[in-house]
Amino acid sequence: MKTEKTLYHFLRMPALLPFLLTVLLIFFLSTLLAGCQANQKPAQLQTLRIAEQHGLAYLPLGIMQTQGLLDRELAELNRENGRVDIQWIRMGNATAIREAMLANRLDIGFMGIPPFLLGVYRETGWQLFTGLSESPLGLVTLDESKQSLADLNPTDRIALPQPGSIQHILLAMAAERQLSNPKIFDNQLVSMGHPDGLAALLTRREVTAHFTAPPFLFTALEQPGARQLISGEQAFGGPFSFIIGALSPGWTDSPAHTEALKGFRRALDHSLSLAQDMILDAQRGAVEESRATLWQEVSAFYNLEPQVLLAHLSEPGFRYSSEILGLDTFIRAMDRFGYLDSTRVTELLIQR
Amino acid sequence: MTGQHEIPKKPILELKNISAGYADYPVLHQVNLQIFGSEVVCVLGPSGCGKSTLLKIAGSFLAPKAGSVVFQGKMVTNPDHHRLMVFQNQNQLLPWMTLEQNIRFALKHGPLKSHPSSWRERIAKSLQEVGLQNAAKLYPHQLSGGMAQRGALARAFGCQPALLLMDEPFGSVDAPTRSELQHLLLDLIANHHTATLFVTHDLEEALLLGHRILVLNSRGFITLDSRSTKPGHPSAVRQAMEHPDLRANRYDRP
Amino acid sequence: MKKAGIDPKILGVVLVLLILPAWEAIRIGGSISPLLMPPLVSIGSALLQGLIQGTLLVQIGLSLMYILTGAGIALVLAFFTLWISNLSPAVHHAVGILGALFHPLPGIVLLPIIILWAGIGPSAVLVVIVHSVFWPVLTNLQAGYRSIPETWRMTGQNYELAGWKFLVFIALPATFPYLLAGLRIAWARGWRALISAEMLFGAIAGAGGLGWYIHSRRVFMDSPGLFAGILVIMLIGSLVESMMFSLIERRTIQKWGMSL
Ligand SMILES: Nc1ncnc2c1ncn2[C@@H]1O[C@H](COP(=O)(O)OP(=O)(O)O)[C@@H](O)[C@H]1O
Ligand SMILES: [Mg+2]
Repeated sequence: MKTEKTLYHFLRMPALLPFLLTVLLIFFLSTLLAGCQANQKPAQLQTLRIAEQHGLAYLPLGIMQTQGLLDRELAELNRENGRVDIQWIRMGNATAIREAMLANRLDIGFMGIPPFLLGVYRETGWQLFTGLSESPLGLVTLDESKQSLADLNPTDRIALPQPGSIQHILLAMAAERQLSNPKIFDNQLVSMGHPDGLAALLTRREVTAHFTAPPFLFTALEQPGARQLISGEQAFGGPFSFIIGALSPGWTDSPAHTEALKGFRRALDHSLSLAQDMILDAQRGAVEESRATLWQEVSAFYNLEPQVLLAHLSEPGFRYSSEILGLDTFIRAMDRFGYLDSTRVTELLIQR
Repeated sequence: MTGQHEIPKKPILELKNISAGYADYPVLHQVNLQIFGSEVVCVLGPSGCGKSTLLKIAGSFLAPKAGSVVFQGKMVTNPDHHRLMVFQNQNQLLPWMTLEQNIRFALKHGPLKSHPSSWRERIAKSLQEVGLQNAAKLYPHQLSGGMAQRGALARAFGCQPALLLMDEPFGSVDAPTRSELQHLLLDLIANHHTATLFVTHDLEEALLLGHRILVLNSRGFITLDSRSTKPGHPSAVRQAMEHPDLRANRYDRP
Repeated sequence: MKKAGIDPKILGVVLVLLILPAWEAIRIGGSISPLLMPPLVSIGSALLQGLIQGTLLVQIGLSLMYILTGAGIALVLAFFTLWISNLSPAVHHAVGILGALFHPLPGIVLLPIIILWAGIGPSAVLVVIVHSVFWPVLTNLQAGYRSIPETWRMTGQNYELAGWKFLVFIALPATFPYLLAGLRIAWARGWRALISAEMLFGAIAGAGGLGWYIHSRRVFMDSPGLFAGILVIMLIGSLVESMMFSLIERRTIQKWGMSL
């Protein structure tokens, strides 16, 4: 009885009640936010969430989805609870993918090397587990008076997905090589997704040049008077992986995760070789009988006529492979530009 | 008290056959009125009969439907600073200026436009006359009701207008203050010899201040014009007190 | 009427002093990644660094310049519209109808169309601000103008103030409480619209303002910088409201006893 009364009085004290409520609120919020973090370790893999982006650089992932390759590989996993629930999510840019991974809403994300390296540098604990594609990239202008990078004035705006994107880093590398100043264009960037950037380029008024990837690159280059000021390979100084795959830190050495990763790699290898076959078809200009349905299904998936897809893939510069090219060059360049510290990043990459 | 007055032959203001009103709503009908220099004319009448409308016509704030307004021998159609209005409203001083600035504002845009050097002296004198020399730096909202009306008088008399148009200026102050203000006004008029058209619905006030009393009936006709030359003249008092259009008025006062 | 007891200033300080340790407590208690909730120290140092190196200062300056320019244009337009709608009742009604339609429309909703018409970049941002400021100022000016007491109008006429003189010497100070109320709404709307516009569509380096600053902090995964930018937006927003507007209010309509 007595304790009850003192507790009552204790709670009635006007200064203490808000204090108690605050403590409770803090406790509640901490647990809520902590839930966002990657620290649960399930014995079984129930869901697999994979994020990709728009464009032909992600073709093997499209093949994987239309052909059900991953589902087949993972069929044996998680038998007790039914199948592994595979979720494909297509996002607009690498920032969104990184943030989703940070909030533990994704297991695998595909993106350019530079956004991935920025994430590694910020200690997200991501692992680089595969390459995906090489692709033609280019800085396109429709302005006849611009013959090279040197012709771009400080008032000429350049559209690209965002600072820190692979297009931005490639532009900086080109500017470093040709104009000895990697940051020379940094104050004239316009942050736009590929479709918006292309639309802005086509107005011939809003932006002077657009650093983009297929199919937007091809559309831009088809315009009358279009000129490629620099290609991705020229900017980089050789071939490089355009898109790589990153694993979120939620991945462990548990048997379930190891098996799932192995399955994913098998499915990926299969779809990479199918993608390379499609490139061969495209270069020959004719589809092999046995791949007719593949072409049909993949074209439908990308909402393209098979003929258009064929024409796109016949362009030089596509290569689908799990090989990772140019990582060190990107790390060193981004270090020079002040976006990361190469020793730290290398350390973090090796740790895993 | 003012005593006898010489009334000049020529009227300072003349309303000729005025009909006036708002939109389709007629208020005044064939009003004829002459006001002579330094004469105080009080207008009495029941509420809503058109007393304020009469003042607006006299000041050219409202265009008559018919008839004409002649001021100092000329037809007039626009307001000017020789015919100044003093209102019942205690907010008539502009609130964003101090009392002193209000008077300066009036002088600057009114009679002393081109004599900035004389503003200071004129301001001091008019504040002195109404006993507000210590309130010069106060904003209108810091003044009591009575002080605000004194301030309005200072601003008006500071401009030395030819004709003052007063619309129940003491109608919203308490009785002792009203009496003070009435005597202040008597003094000011005596010193400045300003012709005044003074609207009130208080018979006693009219009798105290007016040289002459008009009664406007509820249908917008002038039904009495005392033409007396002396405030408190017995005939004026009797006429006014017995006038049928004013009876109601006398008894509805507390 | 002021309630006895709590001084809002002290309350504000106490609140901030409570939030800061609460932030740290949640962060440490839940062992939350510094990318989601950066430590206060690193937010502070990001803020300081941005201010010292000038990158943040430049963007603050840009944003303020945008909003001042936009608000200036909107004010001129609003006064002009007030003037012409006083000349003709038809215009007055037309403006009233347009106001009813456009006033409730958030500027950011218009952005895609504005981009099409005015292009990307500063002009688009300015159009959004002008839209956000113009309507609240205009509607308040019109309300204020209608409510000018007859005695002040007649006083103005008595001293022969007509046309622009009437507007400047009588109408402007008389409607000032309304103008100030309108500007307050306009500021809140304009500031929000500006930051969103800078972030969403007109994300242009070199002319990006605080919105670009936040955008670039985000794409480089610089969480402390991101929070520093948000802090600056909060600070400027409330400084303008609590310092500038209340100062103007105290110096004008409160001093004049004209508070609405
Ligand atoms: N601006 C106006 N518009 C329409 N009617 C008005 C206006 N001002 C006054 N009135 C009407 O005209 C009549 C006379 O008003 P007024 O001259 O103010 O009377 P009062 O004798 O009380 O001063 C009243 O019936 C009043 O309702
Ligand atoms: Mg009246």
